[in-house]
Order: sequence, then C-alpha cells, then structure tokens
Amino acid sequence: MELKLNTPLGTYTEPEYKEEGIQQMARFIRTMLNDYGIYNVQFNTVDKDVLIEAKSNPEKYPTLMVRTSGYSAYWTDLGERVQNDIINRTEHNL
Amino acid sequence: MAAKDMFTGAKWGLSIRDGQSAQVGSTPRIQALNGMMHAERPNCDIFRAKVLTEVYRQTEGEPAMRRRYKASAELYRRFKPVIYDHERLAGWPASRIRGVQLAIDMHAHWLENEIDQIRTREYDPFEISDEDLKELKEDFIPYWKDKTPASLWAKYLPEDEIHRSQEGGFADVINYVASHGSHFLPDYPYLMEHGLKGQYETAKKCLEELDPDDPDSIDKNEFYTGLLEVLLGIKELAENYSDLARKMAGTEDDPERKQELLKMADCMKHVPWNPPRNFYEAIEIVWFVLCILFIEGAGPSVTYGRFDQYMYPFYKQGIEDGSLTPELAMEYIEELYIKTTANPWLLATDLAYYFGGYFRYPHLDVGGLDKNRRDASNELSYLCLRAMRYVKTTAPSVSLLLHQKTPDDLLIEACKLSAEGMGHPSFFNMDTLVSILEARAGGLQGRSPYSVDQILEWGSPIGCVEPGVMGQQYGHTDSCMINVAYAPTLVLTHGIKPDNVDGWGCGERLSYDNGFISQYTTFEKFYKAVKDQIEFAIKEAHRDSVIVEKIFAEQFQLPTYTLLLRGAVERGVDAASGGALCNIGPTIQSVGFGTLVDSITATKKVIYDDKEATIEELAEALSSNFVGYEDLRQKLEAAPKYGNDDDYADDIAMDVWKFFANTVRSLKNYRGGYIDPAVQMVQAHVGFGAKTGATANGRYAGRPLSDTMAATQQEDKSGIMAAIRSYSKMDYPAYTNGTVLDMWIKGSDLINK
Repeated sequence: MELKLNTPLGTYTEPEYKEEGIQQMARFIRTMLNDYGIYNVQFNTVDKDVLIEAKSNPEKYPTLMVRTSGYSAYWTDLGERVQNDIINRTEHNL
Repeated sequence: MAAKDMFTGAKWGLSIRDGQSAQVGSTPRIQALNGMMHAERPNCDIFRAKVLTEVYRQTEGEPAMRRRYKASAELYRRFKPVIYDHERLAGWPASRIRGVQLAIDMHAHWLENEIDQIRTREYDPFEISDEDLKELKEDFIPYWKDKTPASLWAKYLPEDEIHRSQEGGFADVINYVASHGSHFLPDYPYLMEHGLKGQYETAKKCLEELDPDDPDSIDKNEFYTGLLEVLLGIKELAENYSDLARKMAGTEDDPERKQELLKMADCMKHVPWNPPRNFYEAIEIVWFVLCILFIEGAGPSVTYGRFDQYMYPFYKQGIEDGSLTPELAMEYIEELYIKTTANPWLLATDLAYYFGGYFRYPHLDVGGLDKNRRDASNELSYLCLRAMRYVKTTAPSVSLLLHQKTPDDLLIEACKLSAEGMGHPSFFNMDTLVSILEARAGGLQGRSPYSVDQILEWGSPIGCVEPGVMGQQYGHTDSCMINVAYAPTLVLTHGIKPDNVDGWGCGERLSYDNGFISQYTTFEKFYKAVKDQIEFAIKEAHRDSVIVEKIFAEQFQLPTYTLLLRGAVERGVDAASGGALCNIGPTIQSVGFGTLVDSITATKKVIYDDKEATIEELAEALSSNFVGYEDLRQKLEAAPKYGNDDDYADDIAMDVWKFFANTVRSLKNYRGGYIDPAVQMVQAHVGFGAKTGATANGRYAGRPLSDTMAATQQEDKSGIMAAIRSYSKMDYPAYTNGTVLDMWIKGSDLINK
C-alpha cells in the first residue's frame, strides 16, 4: 500500500529520493536478514563530510541526529570521543 | 581549534537546540509541542525521593514488600498532575516536561559525591532548584546512601572486587546495580481488553481465596493487600488528571481547546481502569503506563512493543465509524513520540559518558507475523514509520520486524525513513527473533517457557535489540559488560591492568595470572589462555550480578511492573522476585568483539604462522604501547581482519562468538532461569577502550574498541557485501539476548542533496 496523507500545515518536505538507491537498500536488507539470518541492523545515512563539518561548526547543526548504536542521538549531545569514533567508522557504498 | 573542542556533550548541545529550532511536525499542535519540549531542559524531580523517604521512615521494621508497595501507592495518590497547552495525551512522570524522578533509593551512594556537579557536568547535566538540592543533601541522601542496592551489594564483596567490577574496564556490572525497574514490555494487549480493573478483580479474588493455614499465605497476603492499594492509587492518579482537565475546561476561553479538555477529562475518567473505547483512549493507555513505570522504576527501556498490532482494532474502528482519519491518528502518534523523547534517563557521571544523550531506550515495533504466520502489517505500520519523518524525535526507536512475507512497500517506507539520516528505523529479522525467544533463559540444553503462538503474536525487541514477549518477561537486559577485547592483552600482562589508561586499577589485578608467557609455544595454547580470561570475566561478573539480583528480589519489589505481567497476580509473586512467566537476566554482554577477533587473528598470523616476532616480544610491545615496536605494530595491523569474508579471521570469529555464548548460557540466575548473552553495548566501546591497554590488532592504548558486533573501524575494506558475508557466519540464535549491528551507508546514495 502507499500512504497518501493530507498535511497542509506540516513542516515536512519530502527529499528527492534516488529510486534506485532506495530499491538497492531494500534488496540489501532482505539479503542480510531474510537470506543470511542476521538478527538486527541499523544504519547511519548521514554523509561523513556532513559529520566532519558538524563537528567543526556545531552551532549550524542543532538538530542533526545520528545513530550511535542501538539508539539515535543529537550529534551535538555526544562527547568528542564518541563523535570521533562515529566519524572513524566505515562509510559504505551500496 | 582548541576552544571548539569543548563544544561537545549535552551541555553544549542543549545550549544551541531551543524551542525554535525544533518546531517540526505534521500539524501546528505537533510543532508547538515539539518546540515546548526542546525549550525545556532535562530536570530532576525530588517528589519520588520525598514520598519514598517518608514512607520508609514511617514503616521502619515492617516487611520489605509492604514498604515498597505502600510507597508506590502513595506516589500515585500524591502526584500532582499538570496539563500543558496543546496536549491531548495526559500524563508526565515528573512535575515538569523533560523531568525525571530522582530514584534516591538507587542513586544516593553516588549522588553523595556528585550532586554538586549534576547541574554543570559536561555529559547529561540536569536542572534542579536550590531548595531541592538542599533537601537532597541534608535529608534524603544521608538517609538512603547506605540503603541503595549498590551499598548493600558492597557488603558481600572484597574492596578490590567492588572497584574492579564497576570501574576496572574488564568485567563490569555497574549498569545493573543502579537501574532497577527497567527493560520491560508491559502487557498492553491485556489492558486493551480488560483495563486495570481486570487485575483489581483478580487480585481481590485471590486475596479472598487465600488459605490462612497455608504458610505461603503470609507473603501472599502482603502481596495482594499491597497490590490492591497500588491499583487504586493508579486509578486515583488518572482521575486526578480527569478532574484537572475538567477544571481547566471550565476557565478555557477557546471553544476548541475547551472541547479537547472535556474529552481528556472523559478519557482519564475511563482509562486505564477500564478497557479503552477508541483510538484516543488506547494510545492514552500506552503513554500513561510508561509514565507510571517511570515513576516507580529507575531504569531504561520500557518498550511499546507491537504497537501496530494491539492498536489496530481501535484504528480500524475509528476509520470505519468516521471518528478517526489517518492524519489524526498520525498526530496522536507524533505526540506520543515527542512525549516519549521528553523522558531523560539519569545516570551516574561515568555512565552518562558511555550512554550519553539522555536516551531512555523506549522502542516501538511494526510489521512482523501474526500467530498464524501471516504478514501482520497494516496501515498503522506505515503511519508509525511516516510519523517519525515528520516529527524527527530521537525516541522511540522505531523498528521494522522484517520477514519474507513483509510487503516490499513497507520495507521501502522503512528505507525512506532510514535515508533521512536520523538513524531510524532498526531492522529486525522476525525468524531469528522467534528462534531466540524459543531458547530465551533456557540454557544450553533447554528451551524458554514461551509457546510459539505467544512468540509470534507478541514477540518484540526491548530497548535496543533484546528479545522479549509482551507481558511475559521480566529482567534486566544489559546488566554485565565483558570487555572481551582485553583478554589477549591480559594473557600477556599476567592479568595486570597496564599503566596510563582510564579507570580504577592501573597496575592492579583485573584478572588472574595464567603463568609464564613462554608456555604459549603454539597458537592453540595461547588461544586457550585467551578463552580462560574471558571465562574468568564472565564468571566474576555473573557471581557479582546474581548477588544484586537476590537483593532486588528480596528488598526492591516492583508492584506496577508486576500488575503489567500476565499471570503474575494469579501466581502471587512480584516481578523482581520471579513473577513473570520468563525470568531473565542479569544478562552478560560482550564489548569489543571485532577488536578481540582481530587481536587473536593477528597473533596467530604474525607470531605463530609467519614467526615474525616472538610471543615475549608481543608482550613487551603491548606493555610499552608499541613504543619501539612500530614495525611489529604495522605487521599486526596488516594481518587478516574480521569483516572481509576472509575465513582466516572469520573462523576465529565464529569460534570465539560461540564460546562466549555457550559459557554465558551455562550459568543460572537467582530466580531459576539461565543467563542470556548479547552483543549490544551501545557506545560502551569508547569508554571501555579508554580503560584498555594496547591490543594485539595494532590498536594503541586508550583508543575506542570495535563497535558492538561490527568489524573494527575502517578494517572492513572489502566492500559492504564482504562485510555482511562475514556477519552471516555468526550463530545468531545462540545470542539469546540479541545482537546489535551498526552499518553506515552513504546518504547521497539514497537522496539527492
């Protein structure tokens, strides 16, 4: 089903999704979970250069959220060592 | 850029995120509520501390259960409701938005030293008024500091073990000792059908039928008498909200708001005592139950579970009779998300560093299967995912329970949410969840008490990933942390913690001495010693945590958790003492799995296979943090790594993965179940890394360990498919308390920016 909602006073603007990228992500998740039996996965999808920029200029990113691990947090609320650790993880291409 | 280095941590984050920057949502009401939450600062409420202290002083010498139950009943009766503008869901666990009830009975021992820094600390600071601070320091902390579980627990242990198990950095139980009343899937399905009234009638009947000649009736009489008072207390609390809403309606000028308040008054008169009559009353129950659990309990991870399942009948009814639209349902869901996010978790300062960001780990699931193994998804599943795109809150963790039968459209909806970059949703494999729950708390030979129908119908992750069944399970699910990455190093340091790392005990014993290093003449002998170290840590943490479990069971009963368990009232046993069908925990988690695997692998490759250095040289290199051994460090770093579909490393990964799980699952808890293992400890790999000396994968002392079950940072170099082929080799059902895997997909592959 496709959800059609009428929210004229809402703040949300749908981003321009890359149809092929979204489809590929869906196939990738099916492979991981349905085929390979992996129990859980969660994704960070903020570009790494955005996090590096947000670390230098946090005042411009008050509501930037990231997946730390098992939960989401505001980027600016994390300690510096945690921020560095997240930036240091591997950013994969699909 | 030295100055900017200070610009991290919640203290700083809060200073730039105000009510203006976060006014997002699908309607003006939601935007206003979101703004109100962000305009507030996390704050401590001492109401719980005050009531608890009073009740405990009045009941000195009375049975432990009577005192706990009386305290909970009094908390609900005396709580002063507040209703804010724009709200339709009534209830808060504290007197202000973003408040936390200070659980003085859990925290007094550390508060004694840290209370003066609580307002200004870098990670997760809390506001508190001067008067409240004074009352805490002069009255509540002195009364409670020797009565907390941690203080009582310390009486069982030698001094060095107390420090080692809380601050040493190898085998750690600190998160368990201070967060009791946690990790819970309330029996929402029961409340939707019967309301609390159902439990009241059951408890009353059980009390009447007690046989006074049966010695069991002594405790059960306390139990039922206390529980009935707690139930009436909750009823009174809801009615107090109803009265306030009605009173506010009387003076409200805006006719639309007046109607909303009258509707709220009507709702709170009815639920949670009675079963809900519509979607609004049902979602009010969902929220109100979280509030009371956060008034009574100190810990995290009260979880909404299979929300799209128990709410759907009300959704369908509302759409059919015209009283509800998808947009209105989503607005309620967004309000629930905002209010859920507004519950901070108060932690001791060193734990706030591990778990920073105030998150209290609520969790909401959609999708999955029903008990007939059909796809269970419905329109609400989509709305719950879409709502998060509009409202953009950190909580709850929204999850998709994925199965082969899950429609592609729902998975695409979830991927679109994921592409937005907030970290929502988590994806869970429904089949693996079922396998895990069939084995939960059953040990290596046995199985869980759950039926397959129960698992399919109400199985759900708690907190981050820990599996449970709604209304059937109680127990802490992130109790002990074992820093497995430390084990190879400790083999080579004779169990002594190296110098110049964080935490208690540099130069002190963290583990036992395996003896001369020269005995490790083969890889097999070295590997066996690594496993011995891991086993030592698991068993020490287990012994220490089961003492805490016993203290909780005997003295820290949880009446509200009990009455939200199915069958606990009939059994006449409190949640903390084993009242659930499935009594899990204290669980044991591994931290630094990838670092461990890479360290063993590098030692095998460099020392034993290629003989590029001796084991004694490796020991020297690790104790000196590679000073003078850069060449060796680079060789270790170049060895095969976990996460590249290379069996040289992955064979070790599979074996040590299984070893950890089996060792944990052979141990029993105090309430009669077996201990469950997990790989899940959120950000703990950073804090534990700071306490860990150099490791044999070429990692310098103090650096972060690998994250949860993922490959070491930057070492999964062979692409995303090779990484997941490595992960696919692990035995997931063996981890009966779940596993976390974090991955990073480049956002610009998913969205044009």
